[in-house]
Amino acid sequence: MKNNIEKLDFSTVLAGSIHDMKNSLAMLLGSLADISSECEGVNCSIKKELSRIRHEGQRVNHDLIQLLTLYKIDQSQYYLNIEEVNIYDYLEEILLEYKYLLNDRGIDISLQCDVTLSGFFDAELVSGVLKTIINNAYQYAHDKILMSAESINGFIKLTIADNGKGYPSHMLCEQSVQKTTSNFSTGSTGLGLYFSSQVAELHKNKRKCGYVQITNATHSSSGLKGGCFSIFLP
Amino acid sequence: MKLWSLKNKYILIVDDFAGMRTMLRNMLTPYRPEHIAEAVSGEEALKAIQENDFDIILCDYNLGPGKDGQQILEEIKERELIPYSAIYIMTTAENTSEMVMGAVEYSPDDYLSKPFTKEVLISRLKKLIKRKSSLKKISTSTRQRDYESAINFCDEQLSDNPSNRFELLKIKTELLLRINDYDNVEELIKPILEEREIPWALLYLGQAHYYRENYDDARFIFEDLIEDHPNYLFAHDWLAKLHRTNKNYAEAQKVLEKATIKSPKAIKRQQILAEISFENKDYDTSEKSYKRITRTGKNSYYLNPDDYFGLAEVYLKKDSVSDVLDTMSDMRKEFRNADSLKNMKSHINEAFLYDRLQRKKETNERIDKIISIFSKDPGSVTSVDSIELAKLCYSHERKEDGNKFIQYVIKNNHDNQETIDEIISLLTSIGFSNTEINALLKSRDEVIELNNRGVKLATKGKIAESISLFVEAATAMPENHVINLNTAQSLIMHMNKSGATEALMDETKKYLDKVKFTGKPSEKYKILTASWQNLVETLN
Repeated sequence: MKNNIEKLDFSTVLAGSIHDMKNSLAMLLGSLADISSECEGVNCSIKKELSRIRHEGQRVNHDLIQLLTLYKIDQSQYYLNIEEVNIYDYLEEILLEYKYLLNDRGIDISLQCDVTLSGFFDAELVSGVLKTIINNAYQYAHDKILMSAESINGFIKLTIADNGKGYPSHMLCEQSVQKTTSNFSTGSTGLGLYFSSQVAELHKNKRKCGYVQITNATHSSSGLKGGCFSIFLP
Repeated sequence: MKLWSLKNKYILIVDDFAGMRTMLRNMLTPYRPEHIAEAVSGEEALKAIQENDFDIILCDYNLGPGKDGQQILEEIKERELIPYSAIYIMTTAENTSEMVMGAVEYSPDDYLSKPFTKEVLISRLKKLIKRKSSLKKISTSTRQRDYESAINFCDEQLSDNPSNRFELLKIKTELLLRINDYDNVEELIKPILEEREIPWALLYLGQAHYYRENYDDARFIFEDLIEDHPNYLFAHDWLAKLHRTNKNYAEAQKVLEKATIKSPKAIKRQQILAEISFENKDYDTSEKSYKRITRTGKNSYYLNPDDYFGLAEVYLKKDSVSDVLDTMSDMRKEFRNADSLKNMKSHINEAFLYDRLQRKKETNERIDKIISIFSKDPGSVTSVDSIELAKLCYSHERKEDGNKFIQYVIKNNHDNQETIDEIISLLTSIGFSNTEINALLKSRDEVIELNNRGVKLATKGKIAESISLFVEAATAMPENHVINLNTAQSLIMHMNKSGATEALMDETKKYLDKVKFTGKPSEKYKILTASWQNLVETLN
C-alpha cells in the first residue's frame, strides 16, 4: 500500500497550504473591509480596533508570501518575471491599498514620482518587499510615510521613508553584510530586510545587481526624518 | 469632475466560493455596472459567456474539479467567444509569475493576487479599460488582418513617446513577424536589446533568424535564453522547433521533455512531445505523453480525437491490439457528446485504425457512419481528411463513396491547381481512366457555373436570390474561398441597401472567417472586411 502514495515534495505542500490560507485570509479581510465600511461616517467605537485587525491580517498575508518566496529562492525554484512597470501607477496602487488603514492610524501616506518613470523588475516580488516595509512603517511612523521613486545611475531607486524613530543602530551596521544575524524574535523587521535583500539580489542587468539600503537620514526632498528604506533595481 | 463608473458594463464573476463572489459583487456594485452575472464553474462560465457579451470577466484560477481559469481563457480565445475589447482578469491565490513565463498559450489581461482590496480592483479596472481603448485601432486592424495599417498605428502611438512604449514595440514586432518582414524585426529589436535584454525581444530576434534559415544564430539565442531564464518555456518551444526543422529529433525531444516537466498541464506542448518522441521511435515516452494528455487534458479545449489516435498508433507499434481497442473505446466515450467536428474526427480515426488492424467489417461500419453524417453535414469533414477517406473507400471496393469524397475536395478547391493536380495523380495511380477522371473534374465546372449565376443575380439587383444561392453553395462546399467571399459579399450588398442587423453581421463574419490565407490576404478579402467594419459602425 505504502508504495502507492506519491510523496509530495515540500514546496508543493507549502504552496498548497499557503494557497489555502490566503483564500481564507482574502475572505477574512474582505468581510472586515465590509464591516468597517459600515462604520464609515458613524461615530463607531470599534473602528480603530477593526483597522488594527485588518492591518494584522495583511501582515500575516505578507509573511506567508515572504515565507513561500524565501523557500523557493533557497531551493533555487524561484524564477523572476521581469516586466516593464510604470512606476507611478504601480506605487499608486500600493498607496491605494494602504491609505485607509494608515489614515485610521493617523498616518498620512503620499507619493512622489514622475508619472512617466518606468522600470524593469518582478512587480509581484518587489511589491511584496514594499508592502512588508509599509507594514513595519505602520508600527513605527509618527504620522507620515512617503513613497518615492527615481532613476539613478542605471538603477531604479524605490524609497519608503517615515518620520518615526528610525532603525535601531545594530541594524544599520549589519546591512553591509546583507544578512541579518539578529534574532527575529524582536520583530519581523530583520526578516523583512533579509527578504528585501534576497529579492534585490535576484535582479540583475548588464552585470549590475540590485541591493537595498537603510538609513536614518533626513529624506532630501520631503524633509522627513526617520527610517528610510530604499531598494535599488538595475 | 465626472465620476468614473462601470455604467453599461456587463460583468461576469467566476469563483467556486460563494463568499468570494459576494465580496466581488459588493466591491463592484457601487460603480453601477449594468449587470453582474455569477458562475461557480468553468462549464457554467462558458455557458454564460456564450449567452451574453460580457465586457469584464473576473475569473478565479483554481475552480476545483473541472476546468480551471486558464482552460476557460484558452477555450474562449480559441473559439473567439469574447471580442478583443473584453477584459479578462484572473484572480488567484497562487504566485502568478510561474503562470506567465510561457507555461500557457494565452495570458489574461491581468492577474490579481488574492487578497486584494476594492481600491486595487477598481484602480486596475480603470487602467485596463483605458489601455484597451488606447490599443483599439491596432487590434481592430490586426483582426482584419490588415497588418500594415496596424503597424502604422503602432508607429503613430510610439512617436508620442508613450508610457507603454515597450508594449507597443512588442506588438509591432509581432506584426512584423506576421508579414515576414525579418529585416525590420532585427532593426527594431537591436536598440531595445542595447537598453535591456528583455526575454521577448531575444525570442523574437531568434524567430527572425529562424525564418531566414540562419539556424545557428537562432540556436545560440534560444540556448542562451534558456540558460538565463530556465522558466521561459517559449524559448524551449522554439529551440525544439528548430531542432525538429534540422531533423535533430532526439535533441528536440530532450528540450521538450524539460519544458513539459515544468508545465505538465500545457496540452499543446505535450502533444508536440508525443509526436516527436513517436518520430524518434521512443514509444515509451510517446505513450507516457499521450496518456498524460488524455488524462490531464480532460477539461481542455485542446484535447482532440487525434490524441487517442496517436496513442493507438503507439500501441500498434507495440503490437498491443487490446490496448488499441481500449484506446478507441475511450475515444468514443470522451467525444460521445462532443461537437460534430470532434465526433466525426473520432469516427474517422476509428475507421483508419480498424483498417490498419485489417478488420474489414468494423472498417466498413465506420465508413457507413461517416458517410451518413457527411451527407447531412458536409462541413464535418475537411478536405485533407476527405482525400484520405477517398483512398480508404477505394481500397474497400467502395468506388461510389470514394468518388463522393473526391468531388467534395474538388468543389472546395476548384481554383486551387495544386490540389487538383494532387487528385489527378492519386486517381491515375489507382488506375482511373482519363474519362473517369474528367467526369469527376466536371464538378469544377459546376462550381464555376454556379458562382457565375450567383454573381449575375447580384449584379442584376436580385440580391435575395443571390444570397440564397450562395448560402446553399457555401453549405455544400464550406472551404471554398470564392464561394465564401461571394456569400459575404451578397450579404453585405443586402445590408448596404436595407441596413445592417446584428444577426446578418454575425452571419457575414462567419463566412469571412472561413477564408484562411497561408500568405497575404487577397484584395477582395480586405475590401470585404473593410465594408463589414463600416457596417459595424452603423449598428452602434
